[in-house]
Amino acid sequence: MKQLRIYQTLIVLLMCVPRPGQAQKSDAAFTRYLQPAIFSLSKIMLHDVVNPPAASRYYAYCVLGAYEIASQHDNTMPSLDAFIIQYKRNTIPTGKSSYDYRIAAVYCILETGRLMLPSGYMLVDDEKKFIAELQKNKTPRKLIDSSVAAATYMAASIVDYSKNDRYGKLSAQLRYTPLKGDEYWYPTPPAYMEAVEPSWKTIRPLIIDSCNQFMSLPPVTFSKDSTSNFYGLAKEVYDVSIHPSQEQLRIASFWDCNPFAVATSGHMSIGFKKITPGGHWMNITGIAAEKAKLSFASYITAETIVGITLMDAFISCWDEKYRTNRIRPETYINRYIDIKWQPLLQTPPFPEYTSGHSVISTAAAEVLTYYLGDQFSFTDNSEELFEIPPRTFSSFRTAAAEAAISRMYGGIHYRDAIENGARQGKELAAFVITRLQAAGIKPIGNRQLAVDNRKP
Amino acid sequence: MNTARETTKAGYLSLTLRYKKPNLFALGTKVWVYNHGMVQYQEVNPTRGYLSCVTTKLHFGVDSASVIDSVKIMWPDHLVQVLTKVKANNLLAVNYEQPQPEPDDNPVYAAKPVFTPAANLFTYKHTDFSENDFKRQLLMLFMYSKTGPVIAKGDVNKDGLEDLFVSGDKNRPGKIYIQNTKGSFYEEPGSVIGDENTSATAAAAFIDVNGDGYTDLYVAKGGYSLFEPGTPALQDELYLNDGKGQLKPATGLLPDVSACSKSCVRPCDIDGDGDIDLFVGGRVIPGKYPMAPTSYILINDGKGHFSISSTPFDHIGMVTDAQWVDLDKDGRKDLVLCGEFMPITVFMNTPSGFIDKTSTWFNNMPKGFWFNLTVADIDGDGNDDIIAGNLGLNSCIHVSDKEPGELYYADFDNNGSIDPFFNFYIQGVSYPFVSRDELNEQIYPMRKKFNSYAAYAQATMKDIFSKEELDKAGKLSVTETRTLLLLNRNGKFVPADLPMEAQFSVVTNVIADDFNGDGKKDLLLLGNRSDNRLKLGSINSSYGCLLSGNGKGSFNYISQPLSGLCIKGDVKSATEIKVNNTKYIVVGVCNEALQFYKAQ
Repeated sequence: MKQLRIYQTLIVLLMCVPRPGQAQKSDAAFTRYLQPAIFSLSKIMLHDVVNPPAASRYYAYCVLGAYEIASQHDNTMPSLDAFIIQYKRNTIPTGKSSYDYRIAAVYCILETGRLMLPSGYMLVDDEKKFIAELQKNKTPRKLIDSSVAAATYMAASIVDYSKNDRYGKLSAQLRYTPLKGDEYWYPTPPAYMEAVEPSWKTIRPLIIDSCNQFMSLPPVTFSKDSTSNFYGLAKEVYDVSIHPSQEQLRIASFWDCNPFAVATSGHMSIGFKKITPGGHWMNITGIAAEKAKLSFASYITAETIVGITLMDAFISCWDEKYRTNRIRPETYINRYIDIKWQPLLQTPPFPEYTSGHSVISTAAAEVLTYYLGDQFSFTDNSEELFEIPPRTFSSFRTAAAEAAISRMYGGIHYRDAIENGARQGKELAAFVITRLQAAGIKPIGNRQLAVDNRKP
Repeated sequence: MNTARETTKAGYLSLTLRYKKPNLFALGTKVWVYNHGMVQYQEVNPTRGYLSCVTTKLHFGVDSASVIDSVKIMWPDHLVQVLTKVKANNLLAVNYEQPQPEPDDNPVYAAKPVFTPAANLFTYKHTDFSENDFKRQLLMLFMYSKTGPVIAKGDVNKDGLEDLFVSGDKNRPGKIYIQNTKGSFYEEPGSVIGDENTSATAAAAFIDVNGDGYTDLYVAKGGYSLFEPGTPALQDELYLNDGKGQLKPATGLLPDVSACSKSCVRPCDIDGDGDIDLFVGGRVIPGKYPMAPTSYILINDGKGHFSISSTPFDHIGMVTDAQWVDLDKDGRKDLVLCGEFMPITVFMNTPSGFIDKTSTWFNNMPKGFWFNLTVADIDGDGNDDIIAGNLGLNSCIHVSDKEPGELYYADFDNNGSIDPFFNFYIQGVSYPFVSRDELNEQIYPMRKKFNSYAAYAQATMKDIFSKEELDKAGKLSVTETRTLLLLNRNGKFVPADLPMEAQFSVVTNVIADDFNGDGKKDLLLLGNRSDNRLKLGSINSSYGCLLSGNGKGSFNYISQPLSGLCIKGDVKSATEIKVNNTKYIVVGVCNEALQFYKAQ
């Protein structure tokens, strides 16, 4: 019996030794970690109350490293330096055959987050859990270790790259003072928070040339006159709020995406948190990628091109917001229409024009449409965590249009900020797409999509 | 159940007071209860905090006596009612009219006050810009923008009567007010001094720069706002008297002194060549607090052309004030200067240049904030003494030699902005004044370092920065916040006590003179600062502090009713002026009307 046990042990040992040419696990074994990895970032950002533009920056950098790792293995994937501004390719020193790029890519998402996010140390747990899962699936320790080494190298490299985007200089900037004049933004109730990220336009974008490359059409001129166009815009917001339909209410709350809505009761205040608009679209990307059963390379490409688009779209939108410094509907309505009126959603703490969701959602939807096609239906359960039921959309563009108009139902934007914002997002995305095309990032195409898109 | 009454046999007296409309609740009434040789005192002052109010009934606990000796009620108009043999264990309702109140026999209210408010010699209401320097540098202790109104005194039209310059505000330029023989002032139409929209007047002095017998005006520029060093906004200006009492801007006479904001301009014939030279103190470099600004000695060539002469105090620190005084009586005026985080420093004016002799004149010169330096012979011994206005003791900043306040500064996060961190001791440990929120705003990566308020609560500078970082950082310290009187005794300046009231607020202006007509020098301390960092809060409890001197270096505080002063707000300038042989003081309060008081 002892002899048999020795043989058994030998066989087991032999099976554990990685042999060259051993069949690799399928992509699906690893793509299932991408959504949770990105969601881990969202959880940290929820915890830290990261504002919407800053969140988009974290998402972008965290997926950039993962993409670059994959591109160093898959030569159908153009390297980042083919389309990212001022990016210099940094070849991973670890030998390609000694690590699994998919493990490295997932780990890199977490590791970049660990290095960059204020409470990034909390991601150590997620990293450990990921490794434990891999071990449970009998991934050889050596493979794990060398993949982690590759990921760690790339994450540090991305963080280095990020240090030149002038984020570090934001704290040296002059702080914002609301402009004097009836037409200008003023802090809004209940918390009257200071304006968020007034200098975000100084952040180096990833693909677009400059923050004002896609300047929006000018807003409707301010007026207090009740016969004016502007008054009409404000009145529209007010009227919509009087008898909203159930569907309008659902839509408004589905796209609320306010990272910190303050509720007050006497002297007590509580902040209610949700994932930001950028986080919402990163999640939608994951949902679509899973539905399309994308390969690992395509999945990470999808997340990356959306992440890049979101970051640049926020830079463009915030540039416009702090050029126009426009008054919010809540302030205007309280002053000139109804002093007691409150919007359905809490007015976010930054100027009104153009609408963030309109710009970034439209931009993200255009890029996803480029990559995965129009008429790609999906069910979005991103807000289930906040007890908001899922919604089904027939296309990315439909979802984006709903996100845009939701801001009027929510009482926080005028129609021109929504329509012109969507236009701004579309133009920005068109540019991003030409750059992606020139770099060699091609749409997936129908034959690669594994699922019948006519079913939700 | 509360059985205190039964078990202790103690008693009480409750009073519910009714005054006249509109103050029916008698807010501000003072009540003294005299019983068995003991006095208790309360005021009707029911506010305890934001949106709060406690009962307006006054409650006194008394011993077991059933009859209280007397109760004195002083109503808000200072009229008094005295009730005797008041029954204890009683809620007493007292009406203002019953019995009829009478004037108090306190001599304070009978005496003639030292100062009486005078009708405006001329009307001027300073309207300030709304500024927030903390948007530019979050962690400063107070703002530097609020320099005005600046007042200077001189005889512009050479008629023997004193005239005034008052700097402008956001609505008007600075103006000259000429005194006429009837004792009123008129605005001199031809003199337009500076434009506060493009620069800020920080100090001014009337000097005859070109020796033509007519006094000219030097205007030092300063402030903070969004000014940048080395730009025209910070370049001082010279206005020459055209001989007819009009001041016209002159160009080409001053060198480039735009490296920083200034605090003071003190004229003196430094080189003894018969013309007036200048010391111009550097206050702060806008945007680069607390780096040492440039202070200037400007030498006059006799024709009003000035050039910079280098000195050992070129970059001595953030100078707030200076005075020329011949300390060693060698015929050459020496320079005493002071500043933020600096000691009062003495530079002797010798033929071979200025020499620092601080340690000769002071045994232990502390570092203070020193908002003002005034020199006067307080005790009549023929030697000039020093009064140095400081932060006072009425703030949360408490420092001493053993437990100094310390300011560490460096660009710790290499993002092009200076990060200044002020620390002071609380219960024996030096803590940073910066809150966790402020720290994270100033240096974003600190969000990772202290991931909760609890984690930051006990942090000291050594926990925030490494030893290497702190060793490389600049460091300033402060060991004294009291306003000081320093008497000149046998070649040394010796601190003398001042009444505690002198420490109630920030002192920015001091006038030394005999105000109450007893032949002995008194001190008028003015100040207040409301443009402080929120954490520090407004320091504004001075209503004009008059200290009456005994001629030997001791002072008594004169209470406000007796001094007659009610100067509220941030005093930025003050001067005495003689009008029709009467002494007036003119006080420039930021964003308020000029105040005029007549002295006895």
